[in-house]
Amino acid sequence: MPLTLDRRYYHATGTAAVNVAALHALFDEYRLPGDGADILSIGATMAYFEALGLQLEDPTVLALSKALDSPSMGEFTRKGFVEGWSQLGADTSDKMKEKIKGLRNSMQTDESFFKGVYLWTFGWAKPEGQKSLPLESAVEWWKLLLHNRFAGHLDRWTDFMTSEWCKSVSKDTWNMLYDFSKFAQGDPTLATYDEMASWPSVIDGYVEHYRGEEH
Amino acid sequence: MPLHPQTPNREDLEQTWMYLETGISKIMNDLQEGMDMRAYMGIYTAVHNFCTSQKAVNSSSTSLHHQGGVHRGAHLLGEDLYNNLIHYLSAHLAGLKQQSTQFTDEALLAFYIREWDRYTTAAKYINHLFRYLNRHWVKREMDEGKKNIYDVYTLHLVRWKIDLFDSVQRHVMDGVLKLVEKQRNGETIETAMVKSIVDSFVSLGLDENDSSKSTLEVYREYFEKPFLESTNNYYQFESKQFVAENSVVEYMKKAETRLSEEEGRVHVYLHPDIMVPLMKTCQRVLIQEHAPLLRDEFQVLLNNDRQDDLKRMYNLLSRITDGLEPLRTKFEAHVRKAGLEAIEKVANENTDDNLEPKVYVDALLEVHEKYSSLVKIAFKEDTEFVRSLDNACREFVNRNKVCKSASSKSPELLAKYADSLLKKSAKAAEEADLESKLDSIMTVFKYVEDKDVFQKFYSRMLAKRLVHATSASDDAETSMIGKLKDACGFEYTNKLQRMFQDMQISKDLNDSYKEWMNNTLDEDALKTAVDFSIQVLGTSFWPLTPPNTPFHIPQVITKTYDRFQTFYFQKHSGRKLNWLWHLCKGDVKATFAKSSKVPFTFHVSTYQMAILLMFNDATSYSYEEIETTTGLSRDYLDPSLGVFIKAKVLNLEPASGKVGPGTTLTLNTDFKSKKIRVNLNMAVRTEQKQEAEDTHKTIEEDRKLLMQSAIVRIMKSRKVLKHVVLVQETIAQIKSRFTPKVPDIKKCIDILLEKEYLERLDGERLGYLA
Repeated sequence: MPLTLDRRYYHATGTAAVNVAALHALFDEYRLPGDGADILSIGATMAYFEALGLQLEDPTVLALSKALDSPSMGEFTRKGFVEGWSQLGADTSDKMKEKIKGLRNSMQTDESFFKGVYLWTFGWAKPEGQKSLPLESAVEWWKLLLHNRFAGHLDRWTDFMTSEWCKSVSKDTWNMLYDFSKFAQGDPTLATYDEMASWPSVIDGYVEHYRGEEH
Repeated sequence: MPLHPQTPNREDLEQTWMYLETGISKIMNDLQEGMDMRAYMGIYTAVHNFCTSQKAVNSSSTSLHHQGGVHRGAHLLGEDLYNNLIHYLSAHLAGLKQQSTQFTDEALLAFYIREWDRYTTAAKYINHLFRYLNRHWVKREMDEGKKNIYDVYTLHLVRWKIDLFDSVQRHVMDGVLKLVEKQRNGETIETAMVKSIVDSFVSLGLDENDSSKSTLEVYREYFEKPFLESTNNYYQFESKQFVAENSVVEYMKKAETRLSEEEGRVHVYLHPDIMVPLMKTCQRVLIQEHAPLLRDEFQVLLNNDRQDDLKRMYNLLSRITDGLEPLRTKFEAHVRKAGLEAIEKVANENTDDNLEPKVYVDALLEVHEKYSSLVKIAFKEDTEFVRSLDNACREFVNRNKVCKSASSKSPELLAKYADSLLKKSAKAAEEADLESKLDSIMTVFKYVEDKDVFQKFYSRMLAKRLVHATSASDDAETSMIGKLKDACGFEYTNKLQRMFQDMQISKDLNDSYKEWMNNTLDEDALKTAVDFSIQVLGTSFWPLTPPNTPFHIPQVITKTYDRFQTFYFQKHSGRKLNWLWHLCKGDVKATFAKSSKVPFTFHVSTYQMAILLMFNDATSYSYEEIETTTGLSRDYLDPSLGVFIKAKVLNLEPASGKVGPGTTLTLNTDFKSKKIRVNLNMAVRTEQKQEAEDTHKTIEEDRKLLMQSAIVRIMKSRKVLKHVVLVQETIAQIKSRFTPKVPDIKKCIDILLEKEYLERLDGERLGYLA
């Protein structure tokens, strides 16, 4: 009986199932000569992703970065790497590939998982010490995250942002755009959009622009 | 006096009743012949004796409901008497019923009233005679809960109702209604008859549960109902015919008369209880059924200013439910249209630039005055009409042809009008007159939505009046600020009041500066000191901008300049003085002119002074020399010189050219002027226009700040709020200053989110970050 209980416990948390030493070893294996002792720099990360068969244009990159608590784009810390993988329950490249498949699947099918990754992206992608995200990088991330998720509005939105808005993107705008993308999926022609509601002005501006172009 | 039989045997019903019946019948039919005390007492005693006898002799079939020849108690004896009385009354009433068939109409009414009076009078007597029966047998029966047993008087009424009334009331009412119709047709009638009938009907209303009380049921059923019905029919017919042949106005007069006639009818001869249903009936037939017709006439009456007829229509339609609602909408539209037309006329007669503020404000006021007096006189200051008037005025004050170019034009012109009233001028208004004009400014002000624009322009112009000492009266200024404060609160006028305080403080400051000079300077220095006075004004209260041209202070006044700064910084260390040279002015004595022995005094701006003082050293300078010496930018230099050239103080060479580089300016020693004092300090028109534009620009900035601070204030007290609610509350807070647009508020919320004063808790809710 105690055995069964234990097994279930291990299985649930995954911590005991992974070989932490193997994870440290793997981390060190990818670490490049110039990198600090506890950091994977962008070059190391690239090589690591390649080994795992992870493409940079795959939004799963963001899901994994979040899972491994990446401090900023293309960087992983030893702590985040070891704890993250322990949490996910993988200590070999093959197991990691499997887990990545799982993350990819969650991104596509689990809405709240996706939302978590979307909202997290802003803080991760914005330059340190700044409150907002430069427009060009916001546009890139939107293209990555909201592809097929914005009821055909993605291109028009990014065009509007670059040609009309021309300002960096605030956290509120970033977060509310997720809500707006969900709204657009429910009402692609935006017929029921209410500019008196709590949308930020920039989205009001987009809808006005969109309606102007449509008619 | 006929013989009355002897008092009967107390135990013999037949005998007793025969005796009583003779008496009763005498009372009933011949009371006017009188009745002697003995007969009266005899009947009274007979009733008493009979009721108190131990047993009665049953010897005749006249005894009703006889239960057999056994000994009976007094209570059963009473019953016999009671039943005999009923029998007698029924017979009497049957006779009356029979007689009544000979009469119709007024004759029937006369008959009915006569018999009613006789019958009820008799009833009172008989009731009295049978008092013993009432007190004992009737009372006991009633106490035991027997139904349909009444005291003797009530019994009379009950019998009248059953045996006579039920069969004649219809004919009687026919008579009454014909009579009333005659009166409605203008004939004189004997109203007392109707009143008697009403009283009779009312008396017949008996409360089944308590015979001492009366109800109006009989009256309502047999009088009120047919009366209302015939009234309805009468006026339905009459009003239809009347409107077919007469104008609506005539009809309203008719209806008014009819309504007051009916009201009078109630007072004169109807029961007060009918007032409400009668008025309802009349109002329905006379007003409600013709309401669409009346309302159609409303616009015509408005167009022709028919105040009396409008009043009439108001009075009529106010008597029916929802009668006025459609009028209010029409009234509002009419007033708005009148306002817009008045402004359009004014706008067409004047171009935007030369539209006199007074002309504009007067046009607004005229429309307001006209319709507010209409509301007062014709619509009894009905709150709903007042609201319609306000709505209409708000519309045409804020959105009219003049405001088309800029929505803030109304408050700007209103503030300018206020300035023209408060400024010193040749045609200064009388004090009382001025006060009423200031009040009328407030009338328009109440409707102005952009109160912040008014505030801005008003404070700029007040600043000018104070700085240039052109205010006509301190009292009027104070009064106006008081009015604004009453309307918008302390915050709105705070700065204006501080400006006044600064003026007072400056007065004291000048005094202590003079004292300081007397104490610190030697006599020579005092003698050569320039006459000087100064106003020190708090930067944050005054809408004044620092000069936007460099300026080299002329030698002559630098001493004064330094001296004052020394004095001031001694007094207030740590303060900073900005010299607003463009607002300063001075007098210079000009001794160069050959034409006059008395030196001229030129009233000039400080910039002009700097130019003129150069001519103490030489009589001619090139434009460039003046530019270098004074340091003035050309925007200021050129107009200043322009005034001198125009006034012929300086001569320009070449004479035909425009002042500027390459020209030379020479002192004109042939200068002439009729006046010794010459005012050369004239405001430049382009400057004024620039100022108006600047004012509008700062308004936009101020509004953003106002909205943001309102949002922060609301969130600080509420902590968490739905976005939509926050927008609404912000509008509510700011509305008194201007009407904010929702997108602008949303932008301000965005800014505050970005600055992290606020955070978004979820899609809708916002939280305050301290």
